[in-house]
Amino acid sequence: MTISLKAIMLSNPEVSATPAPADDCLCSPFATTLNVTGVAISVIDEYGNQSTVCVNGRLAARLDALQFELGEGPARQALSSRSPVLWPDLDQASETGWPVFQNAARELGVRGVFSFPLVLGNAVVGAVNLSTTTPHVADADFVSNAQSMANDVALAAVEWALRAAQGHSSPESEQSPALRREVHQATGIIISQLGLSAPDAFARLQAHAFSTGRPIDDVARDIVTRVLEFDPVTE
Amino acid sequence: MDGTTREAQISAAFVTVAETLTAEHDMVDVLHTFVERCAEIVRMDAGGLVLVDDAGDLQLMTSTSEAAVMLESVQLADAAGPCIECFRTGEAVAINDISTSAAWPEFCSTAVDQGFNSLLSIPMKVHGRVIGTMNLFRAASEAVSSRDAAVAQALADVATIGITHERALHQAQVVEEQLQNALNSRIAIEQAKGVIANGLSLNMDDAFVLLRKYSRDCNLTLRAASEMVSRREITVQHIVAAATRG
Repeated sequence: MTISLKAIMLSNPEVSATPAPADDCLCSPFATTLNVTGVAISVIDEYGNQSTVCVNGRLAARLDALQFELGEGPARQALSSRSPVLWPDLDQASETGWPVFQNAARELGVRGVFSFPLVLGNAVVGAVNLSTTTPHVADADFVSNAQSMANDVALAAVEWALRAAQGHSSPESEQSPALRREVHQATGIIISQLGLSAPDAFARLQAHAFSTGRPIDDVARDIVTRVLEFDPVTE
Repeated sequence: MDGTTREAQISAAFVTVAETLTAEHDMVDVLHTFVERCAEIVRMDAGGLVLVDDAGDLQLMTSTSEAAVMLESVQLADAAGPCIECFRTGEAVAINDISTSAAWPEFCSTAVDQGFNSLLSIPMKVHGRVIGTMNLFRAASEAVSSRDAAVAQALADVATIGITHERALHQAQVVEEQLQNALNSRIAIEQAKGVIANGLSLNMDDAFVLLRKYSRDCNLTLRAASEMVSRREITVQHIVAAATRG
C-alpha cells in the first residue's frame, strides 16, 4: 500500500477517502469479552498528537478527551512504558503518576482504568483504554486477553486513523472526535490572535480549558465560532 | 565430515538464522549467509534463493556464485525449471543426474554447461503458502539423501519465519510512517486554516480554499504551505496577494 498524500490532498479533497463515522465496532468486542464499561481506542504519536478511533459511549469519550486535554493519563503511560497499565481501583490508588487525570476520572465515577499499548511492528502507535465504574480485578487472563485483542485491532486502528487524517472533512462528533480538527483550527486562530508558536497557542487553549473546567473540544468550538476570543491586551 | 562436526554446523546455521529474527540485519546479507551455510551443510557446491515480491513475481534474492545466478536467471526468464516447479507445487524437487534429465532441456543444458549435475529445490512456506524456494546445486551427479533434504527443509523453514517477520515489520513501519505524516499534515492544515480564517475573517472552508490555491500557485505541498502559515513564516496578506495575482 503506497499512498501519496500529495496526490490525495491535491485531488478533490471533498471526495477523497472519507472514513465512515467512527462507531464502536472495534470497541465492542472489548466491552463484551472483558466485561468493562468504557472502551476507547486512540492512536497517539510521540508528540501527543491523538486521533480517537472509536469510543463506546460518553464515559469513554470523556476519559479519552481528558487525557488529550491534560496530556497525562494511563494511555500516555502505556505508550511510554510499552506495557499494560493496570489500576483496578482508582479510589485505592496512590502515585499513579497522573494525579489530575486520576481525580477527574474519579469525579466521573470511574473506579478501574486499564490501558493496553497498540503495537504495530516495533512501534507503539496508541492505546486501548478500558474503564469500569466498579473496582475490577485485572487477573492474568484479563490482561492477556485484553493485550491480544489490542494487538489484533492495531492495524485496523492505524488504517482508520490514516484515512481520517487524509480526508478533508471526515465527520466528527462528541462520540467520534477523531483528530479534533476544531482544536487545531482554534490553535491556528490563537496563533493569529496572540502571535504565538503552535505549541504555545495549544498550551494556551489547554490552560483555558483546564482553568475553566470545560472540555477542550467545547472551548475550541467557541473559539472557532468566535464566541470566545483571546485578546492580546487582556490575556 | 564426521557426524559431530556436521551436527555442530547444523546447530550453528539454525542459530545464525534465528538471530536474524531478532536483530536488524540487511535481509539480502542474511539470506546470502544462510544459503552458503545450507549448501555447506548438505554438501552442495552452490545455491540461490528466490522470493515472491509484492507484485507476485519471483525475484532472485541471493546466490553464492555467478554460475548459480545464471541457473536462477534462466528459470525466471523461461518461467520453467525445477525451482519454478518447486514454487508452483510447494514440493521439494531433486534431480540426481541433470545430464540425463528429460525435463526442462533449456535449464538442464545451462546447468551442465555451468558444471552442475545434481540439484535440490526446497519450498519456503508460510501457512501453506509458498513464498519462495531455496535451490542448491552440486557438481557431481549424486542423489541427495533424505536426511540432507530434511535438514535443508528445516533450515528453510526457520529462514521463512525470519523473512516473514522482517516483511511484516517493514510493512508496519511503512504504515506507521504514513500515519505520522498524515497526522502531522492534517494538524498543520487545520492550524493554517485557523490562522488564515482569523487573519482575514473567513470561515474555515474559505480559508482552506485560499490555502490550497496558494500551495498550488507556489508549487508547494499543502503540508509545506500549511507549516509556513502556522509558523508565521508567511503572512496572510502575502497569501491574499498571491491569490489575487493568480
